This record gives sequence, structure tokens and C-alpha cells, in this order.
Amino acid sequence: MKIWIYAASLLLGALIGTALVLTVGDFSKSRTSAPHAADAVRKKSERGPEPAGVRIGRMIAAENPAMDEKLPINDAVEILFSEKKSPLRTRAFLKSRIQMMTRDQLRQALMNGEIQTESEIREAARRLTNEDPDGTFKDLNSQIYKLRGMENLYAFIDTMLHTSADADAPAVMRRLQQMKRGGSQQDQSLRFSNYWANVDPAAAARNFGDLVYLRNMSVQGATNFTDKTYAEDIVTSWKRKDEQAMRTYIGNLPPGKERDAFESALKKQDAPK
Amino acid sequence: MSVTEKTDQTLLGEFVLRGCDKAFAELARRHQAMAFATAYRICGDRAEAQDILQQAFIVLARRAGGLGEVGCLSAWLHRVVVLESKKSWRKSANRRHRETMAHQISELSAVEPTFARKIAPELDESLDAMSGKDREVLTLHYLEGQSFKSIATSLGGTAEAWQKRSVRALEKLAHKLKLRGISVSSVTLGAFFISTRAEAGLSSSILEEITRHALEKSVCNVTGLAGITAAISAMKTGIAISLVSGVVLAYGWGVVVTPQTSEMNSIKPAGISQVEPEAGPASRDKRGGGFTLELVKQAVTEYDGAEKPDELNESRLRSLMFLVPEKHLEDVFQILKDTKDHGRFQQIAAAFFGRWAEHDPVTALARAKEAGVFSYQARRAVMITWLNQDDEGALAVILEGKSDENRGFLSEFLTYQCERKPQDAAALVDRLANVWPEADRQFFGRVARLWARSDALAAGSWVASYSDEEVKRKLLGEIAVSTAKIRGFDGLTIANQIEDDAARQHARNQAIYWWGVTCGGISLVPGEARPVRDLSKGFPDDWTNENIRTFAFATMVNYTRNLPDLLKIAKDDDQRILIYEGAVRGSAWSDPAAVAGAAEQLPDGFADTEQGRDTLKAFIRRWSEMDANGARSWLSKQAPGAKTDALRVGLNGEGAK
Repeated sequence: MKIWIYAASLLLGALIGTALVLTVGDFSKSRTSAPHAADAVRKKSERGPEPAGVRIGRMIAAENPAMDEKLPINDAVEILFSEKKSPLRTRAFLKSRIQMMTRDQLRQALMNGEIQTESEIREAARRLTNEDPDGTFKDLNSQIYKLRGMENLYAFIDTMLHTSADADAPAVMRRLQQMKRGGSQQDQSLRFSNYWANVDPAAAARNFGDLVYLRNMSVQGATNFTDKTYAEDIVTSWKRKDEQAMRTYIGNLPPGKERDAFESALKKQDAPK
Repeated sequence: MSVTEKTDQTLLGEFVLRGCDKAFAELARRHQAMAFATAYRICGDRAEAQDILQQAFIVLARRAGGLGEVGCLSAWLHRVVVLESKKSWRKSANRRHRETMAHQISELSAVEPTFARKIAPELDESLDAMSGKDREVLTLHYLEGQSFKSIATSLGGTAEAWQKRSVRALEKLAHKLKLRGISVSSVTLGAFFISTRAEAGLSSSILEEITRHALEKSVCNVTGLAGITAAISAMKTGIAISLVSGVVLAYGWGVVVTPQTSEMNSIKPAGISQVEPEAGPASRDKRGGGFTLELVKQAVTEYDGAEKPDELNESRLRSLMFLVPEKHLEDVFQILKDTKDHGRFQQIAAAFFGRWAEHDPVTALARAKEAGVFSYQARRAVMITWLNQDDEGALAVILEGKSDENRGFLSEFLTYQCERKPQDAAALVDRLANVWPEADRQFFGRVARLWARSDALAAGSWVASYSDEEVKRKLLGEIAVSTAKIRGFDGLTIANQIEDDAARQHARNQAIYWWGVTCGGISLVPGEARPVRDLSKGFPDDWTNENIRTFAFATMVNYTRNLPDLLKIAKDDDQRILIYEGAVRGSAWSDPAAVAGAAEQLPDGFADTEQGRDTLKAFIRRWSEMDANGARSWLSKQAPGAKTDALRVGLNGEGAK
């Protein structure tokens, strides 16, 4: 009897083996959309070799269970953290996951609250903003993304504002001007204007009046973030980058509140510490 | 009609009425895969799963007579297997061993082992707790592999309807698991079921033996024990042979038969001859082959030559670095060194050295120091990887030099560790206290703040144990505020750990202020607030007058409409006066008209102090800015007195008095 059992077992083994091979084959057909798209391109093009990136995409997807597109990013984070390998591996794989998602998949993941680590939130915000700054701005302010905690929320806001400001800062200002006046608008305006003063103080100075207006929730109410404070920020940053240009600009300003604010800030800068 | 064409009910009937062994054997054949997969998911051991399967069939044979009313035998059998598995699981004295075995075997699964271990014990219990039709469709389709058409034929309805029901049922199951603390999507669940089913299945001879054994047990309990034991032993060996030969065959197919891309052979840069894909995880990519140096070279060249860096390609390259086999580390290092735009490759080089450090941090660090333009990123990657894998070893190296650079790497690592294991990061910082006090001071606050994001109370207790009073006081105050914004009372618990009386009171008041600003209104409405910030039953006894006034002030900044709720929780007139004071002051930042009643209720003596007068002035000025006529009209109706004088001064200037 034993011989029959063993013979049958071998036969079943062959069947299991075949099933495993077929199963893996089937699984690979449902990998990420990026390699899918790449495959389509590959079929169309008979002219050259497959781009390395496409092959790498497939290899990465097959390397680790965390790279399975069906697995929520948060679960992937758990898997990668628990592996206790290189932290850079965790970040690289998660970045690849985000980069290989379609825009809709990424938005859906954020809406489901599936991305809750700060680095990955920044990555997602950067990717979405680069592709569609207006849409991302609207999505965020419609509060459709589930971001737990203030840190995660500000990680998204800051990355979105910085990324879009790097590409087209005046467009960010226009978006903020179109927002309804209130806490959210003021919060984002403060963050954007501080960033702009830091990276391009000359441009911030040219838009000084508009920015000071945006930095305060209500013109009727108490001005919490005065023009003087912002002028100081601009002057401090501009002095480091191009002091001569700054002095020329302030010298050419017509008399008024704006000139007073800048001169006061300059005086403060020049005062011995 | 042949046996295989008959329904479960018919077969059961034949078995009960005529004692037809063939009918029972057919039932066993139909349901063995589902039953075995279920048992295996729960116990994690194939031999044990086989025993459970046998036990379940014994139960089936014994109770077959009473199953006339069972609509779906699969669902009933699933429940039996779950109960038997739990019984067996409890009896087992060697659980640890089984978990290890399950881990090793479950590597066959397409789903990650950790995930499988986490979900398996809960899955079948949750499935078992589902309602009739949902349980039936999941059992029949996902566990037994029946098509929706087949389910429709046996249970009625249309295939489409069953398919839709299966989707909804999977979602319900995912929700049930979520309630048990396991977050998993319905798609992943489906994949997991299918993957475990693919592993299940017994040879016909083994099944025959199990069936026979079940029948014997049911009829005459134990007969011929020795023969059965031998058969079971042979069956176990048989199962092992099936699995091993199956896996060997599948693995062999992957390694030997996987086609290599012909395109890659056309790119053969000088100096690099290896083209064979490496065996290993990467070779699971059946269509494109595994890791080759040519692939790295091609990818690096494409990225280096691109007009501008592409995020997708950069992320792929970074990930690819972690697939580099040990024997090609030096070759890949050379490829990276040969790139033109080194700036573009800094993060990729860091990933590469991270991979190297995973394998051998000592050698990786030595090579990192010689990495030229990549040296800084290489050293950074090696040290944070080393710290994650072996903090003792890495710390020994760091403490030898105690350089600013290593302090920076340590800081980056601690930030990473705080994402999931802040207590480990705290323990690491504690170890620095004596050997590197400067670093300890630098990291202490950072780790405490990061830890407080996930567990503020634990972080607060850790901070309270710090020796430096000033650092402790500052940090506790800060964490108390950030915690109070979300978890009200917890913030005060943290503030209470400050030893100095004045500093403690100040921190408490600050925490109360931010609690009021962020969620004061919600905290006052019964049922709306979480218990950690529910104030609807009144102010706690340990709140001072200043605390109550501050809470009222802060709440009115954002929640003027909740003034009636605030007044409702006041236990006496004294507390009501404090609320009026706070409300008038807070509304100067929001909507004074909404709290005009509070201003009217304030005693005239409120205007005796400078602070009181300033509050009234700010109140009326803000109102006037928003609605000048409304403010004037209201003021004109106020009775004369010190309070009204102060309001008039606020509105019209000093001359108005």
C-alpha cells in the first residue's frame, strides 16, 4: 500500500508544481499598471530593446511581498520595517510603490488613509503636485484625503506648496487669492509666503501687499501677522542672497506703508547686535 | 447519474440511508481542499491539518443523519473544521514550533508570511461568524474553488448575483477583520484565499485513506489501530513527498525554463561578462529574467544620459540597488563611479551602500570611505543600515570618533526608528546618556517629540525620568500642549508630571488653552467628544479659576455657538462669572455679537481692573469692525456704570467717557 501512496504522492507533486508555475504566471499578469503600460509599449515597438526601467519595475514588483500593488501602503510599511534591513531599502521600495501607481490609485490610497508615514506622504504630495498642481490643491482643500495628525497634514501641505511654488509661485498666490478667507487660507498663505521669502525674496517683495493681505485672515480684524514681520523675513533672506539689489529696491519704493515696513526691517537688520 | 454528478444532499442521503461508502468518498473528495486549507491556515502545520481534516470527516460521518436541513454542506463543514482546529490548537503544547513551521511553509504562498501569520487565526473565525449566504458564497467560491455558475446551479439564483454577493461578502469580511485589528483590503483577502487553496489538496490515495478511516471511526470506532497508524504515517510521508516534489518542480521551472530576454544579449559593454540572471527573489520575474550587470549598466546609462532626472527611473534604480547580489557589489560600485553626472546618482549610491551594509557593514564602511564623490552618502547609508541591523556594533564605531557627522547619521536613524519603534529609539538615547552626553541632550527632545505623536503618555513618562530639570520642564510643557489639542485630559496628565508648582500650573493652563481652541466646543456636547476630552459633566475639581476662565476664552475663539453648553456645565454662579469673563475676552477674536449676553452678565466690578477694561475694549472694537451699527445699538441699551464706560472708551476713544 505504501508504494501506491508514494507513487500517487509523486504524481500529485507534479500537479502541485505545475499549479504553482501556472499560479505565479497568472499573478504576474496582474502586476502594476506601470509595467503593464510598458509591456504594451514593448509589444508595439519592434525597433529596440525593452527599456531597463520596465524590466526593473517588474523585478522590484516580484522582489518583496511589500511591493504587491494590492497591498495597502501602510501594510507594506509594516512589512518593510519588520524586515530590519536598511532604512534606505524601506524608503526606496515605498517610493517605487508610489511612483508606479497611477494618479487615480494614489489619490484613492490617500482618500482611504492608506498612506500615513511622513516620508511617503511627502512623496505622494510631490508626485500629485508635479502632475496636477491645481487638482491637488483642490483635493486637499476639499478635505478628501485622510491624513492622521497635524504633522502628516502639514507634511502634505508644505510639500504641495513648495513643489508648486518651485514650478510657478505666482500661480500658487493666485490659488490662495481664490480661496475663501479663513483659517485654512491663512495657514497656507503663511507657509507659502514664508517659503517664497526664503527662496525668492525679490519676487516676494514685488508681491508684498498681496502677500500681507493673504497672511491675515480678515482685514477688519486684528492684524496678527503684520507687514513689518513679513518685511523682516524678506530682508533677512534677501540680504544673504543679494544685499545690493535689496537696498536698491527699497530705495526706489514710493513713500507709504510698504516702504516704512521695509525700512524698519532694514534698520533692524543693520542695528548692531 | 454518476456519483460525481450528484448533489451534496443526494450523496448525504445515499450515505445515511444505504451506507454507501462511495457517496461519502465523493463528499470527502469535493470538500477536502477547502477543509484542509482552512485547517492549515489556523494551525499552520500540514501534518496537524491532515489530522484535523480526518477528525472533521469523522464528525461528518457521525452526524450525517442529522444534516438533512443543512443547506450548504461546505459552510457546515467549514465550521466543523474551525472548531476542530481550535480544539487541536489549544491542545498543542508546542505552539512555537508550529509557528516556525508555518512560517517556513507559508513562504510558498504568494502572500507575505508575516501577513499570513497575522491574519490566519482571525480569518476563519470571522468567516464563520458571517451570515448564511455570505458564508456560503465565500466558502464555495474562494475556499472550494467553485465557479459562480456552479454555485448558481446548486443554490439557485444567477452567476452574476453570486459574483456580486461574493464581492460584498469579501468586503464585509474585511470589515470584520478590521474590527479585530487587522486592516486588509477585500482584494488582498481574495488573493490570500486563493493562494492558500492552491497549496491545499491531497492525493487521491491519501484522501481514500482518510475517508476510510472516518467511516471506520464512525461505524465501529477503533479497529485495526496498528494498520491505520501505519497508513497515516505513510500518508504523512506522502504529503511531504507531494509538497517537496511540487516545490522542487516549480522552483526548477523558474530557474531553468524562464526565458531570458534576447535584447539584453545585444548589449555587452566591455569589461562585463556576466549575463546570467541570479537565482533569488528577483528571478521570480518570469518575463524579463533576473538581475544582471548588463541590466544595471543599461539602467544607469539611460538615467545618466537623460536630459533631466526622472523620478520614476530614479526610484527604480534606488530599489534595484537592493537587488544586487553579494558577488556583484564591487562591479556595481564601479558602474556607479563611471557615471558622468555624480550629483544625480547620490541617492542611488546611498541605496547601493545600504545594500552593501546589509551584507557586510564593516567592508561596506571601509569601501564607503574610499567612494570619492559618493563617500558622504555612502557612509551615511552604511551607518544607518548598520544601526538598524546591529545597533551595538554600529554604536561602538560611532562612539570611537563621536564626530558631528556620525551624530547626524544617528539622528536620521532615530527619526526612522521613531516611526515604528520609538521606545527602542528612546532606549538607544538612554544608552548615550553616560558615554556621549552632548548627543543625549540633542536627541532626547527629538525622540520624545516623535514618540509623543504615537504614544504621548509613554513619551511623557520617559521625559519625566530625565535628570535635567529645565529640559524636562520645557519638554513636558510642549508635549502637554500638543497632546491636549487632541486628547484633552492626557495633556494635563503629562503637565502634572512637572515638579515645579508654578511651571506645572503654567503648563496646565497652556494645555487647557489649546484644548479649548482646537476642540473646546466638541468637548462640551455629550456624546460628541471622546472620553479623553469629554467635559460635558462639568469642570474637573482640580481646575483652578484661571483654568476655567482660560478654557472659556479659548473655546470662544472658535466655538462661540457653544456658549450655552459652556454655561450648562458651570456648577455655580462663580464658575458662570468666570465663563462670562473668558467668553467676552475670547470673542474679541471671533464673533462678539454671539456672546453679547455674556458681556451683559458680567458684574460692573469687572471694569475695575485694567485687564477687565482691556477685555471690554477689545470686545467692542472687534464688534464694531464687524458690524458698527449693531455694536452701537447694543451699547446704547446698556445701563450706565463702569462697565459701560469702558465699552464706550473702547468704541469712541478716551474722550467718550
